[in-house]
Amino acid sequence: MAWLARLAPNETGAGGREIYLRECAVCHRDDLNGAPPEIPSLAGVAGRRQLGVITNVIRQGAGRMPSFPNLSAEALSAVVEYLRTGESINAGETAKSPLAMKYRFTGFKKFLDGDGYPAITPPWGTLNAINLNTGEYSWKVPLGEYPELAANGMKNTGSENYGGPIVTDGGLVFIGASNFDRKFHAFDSRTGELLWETLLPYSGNATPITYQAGGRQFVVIAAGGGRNRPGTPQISGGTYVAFALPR
Amino acid sequence: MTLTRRGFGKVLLAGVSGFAAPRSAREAFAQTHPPNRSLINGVQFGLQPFCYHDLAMTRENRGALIRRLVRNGMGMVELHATWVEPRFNDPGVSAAAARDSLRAWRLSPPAGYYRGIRKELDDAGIAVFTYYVNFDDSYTDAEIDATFEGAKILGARGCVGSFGLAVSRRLVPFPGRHGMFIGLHNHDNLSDPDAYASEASMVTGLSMSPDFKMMLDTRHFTAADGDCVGFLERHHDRIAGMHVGDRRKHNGRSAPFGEGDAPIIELLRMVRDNRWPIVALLEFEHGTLRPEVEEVDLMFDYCKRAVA
Repeated sequence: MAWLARLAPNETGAGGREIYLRECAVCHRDDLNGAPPEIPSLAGVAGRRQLGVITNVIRQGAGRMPSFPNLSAEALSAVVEYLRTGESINAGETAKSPLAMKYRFTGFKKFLDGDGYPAITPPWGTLNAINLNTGEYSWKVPLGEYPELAANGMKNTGSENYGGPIVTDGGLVFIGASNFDRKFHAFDSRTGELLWETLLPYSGNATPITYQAGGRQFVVIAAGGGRNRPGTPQISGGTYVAFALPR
Repeated sequence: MTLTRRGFGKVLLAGVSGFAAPRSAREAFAQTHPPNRSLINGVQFGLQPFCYHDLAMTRENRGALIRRLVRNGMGMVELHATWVEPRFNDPGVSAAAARDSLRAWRLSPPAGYYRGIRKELDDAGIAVFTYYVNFDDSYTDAEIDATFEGAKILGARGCVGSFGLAVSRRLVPFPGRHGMFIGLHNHDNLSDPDAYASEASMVTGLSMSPDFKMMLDTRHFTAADGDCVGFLERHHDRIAGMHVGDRRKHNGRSAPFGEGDAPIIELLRMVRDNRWPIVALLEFEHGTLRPEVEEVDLMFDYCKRAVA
């Protein structure tokens, strides 16, 4: 996945918008639109969430969003007011942070084409093996697919993927990671050849584990999903799926 | 005219009494339309295509959607507007500008646009029961009217959306103008006073207009600890359809049909036995180890067995 990144001079003011830009825009972006589904839009959030809920989320965090204990009560109120009305009220001197940097990151933005696919030539996600003795790539294979493209013959494009692999003594690489096809894969660790794959209930954005019990080897992965493409149903869950290697 | 077993019984009754006028809108519909492929023992089933979790809900994917519906034996659908309308959120276009472009398109869609889509669906034997559109404050009155008009051309009998009480109040004048209904869709957020989640909130919404009907979501109502069977008993004459799916109580997880707490079998049998004109739209969001089309087959089989 190619990302667009930009730096902007940091805001030093104590108004609700300045605090938002300093503290929140790195994820939710300057225009409040976020990067759904990973980072929700805050445009019109006051119509969807009660103000107390918004305040608590900022104060305590939620999911992958960290808490912001550094914000004073006045600064917190100013941010919530900005989200609610768009008005930037002044939070006073207590809003200024001594840790403020000169520049700020303006937020995560994927480099996508008009249809929502990466605006670069595939592969759009790869699994790579590096020979630690030489530092050279041993092999590189596409990882992940877009189901609707695969159904039309555009397979092995690779896709955005989050999750690590494990390697077994027997020469197998197990990895889920691919965001959109919710597959769990086994590759040959020497060649990168895909040996086996199956569907998970949700995408396996996690690193699997393996263990032995009763003389049999198992591989387990946590399948949680929740990183579907915009425009597709945003389902997620929390399921551990275990696979037993053949006896 | 092809008759269903139930339709055959009705014609016999009419012949004996000498009174052939249909007694309900459902009978009138049955006498002028061939049976829908997902009419099972008197219960009209359909699909909310949300179930195809891997398929982006875009007009470009509408062909794939129609093929899947036919493959799953579905003859009725709740069509989300995104399967129909173009997108304007191209890179570099602000959300506000994209919204303005969508509004302009809705007010002046290309000539014959909706009729063309209606033909696609007709040719596949798929009827649009409802058009899903999330009305909110950004809609102008003219835009709401235009949306109803488009939905009507598609064959929809109502518009459904995930809006709350405040937006509902504004929508009161609209469905009657178009001879359609507004479907109120409940979710599970009991802490939001504007949301449809409790029975009381739904009754309040229904009281706003005779043109308002429920699209009772059995998953969400079960998760919100609602009494689905009681609700159906008490309000069946104000229920246009159900989103049929399963979840655990107490805001629990989604589950395959039969593994949660939603009384799906009882609900479907009530519809069957009372001959209520309530459409059962399958909708699920549980994860599955199977491809989505196979999972729809399994869930549909569960419902077919319930009304067998």
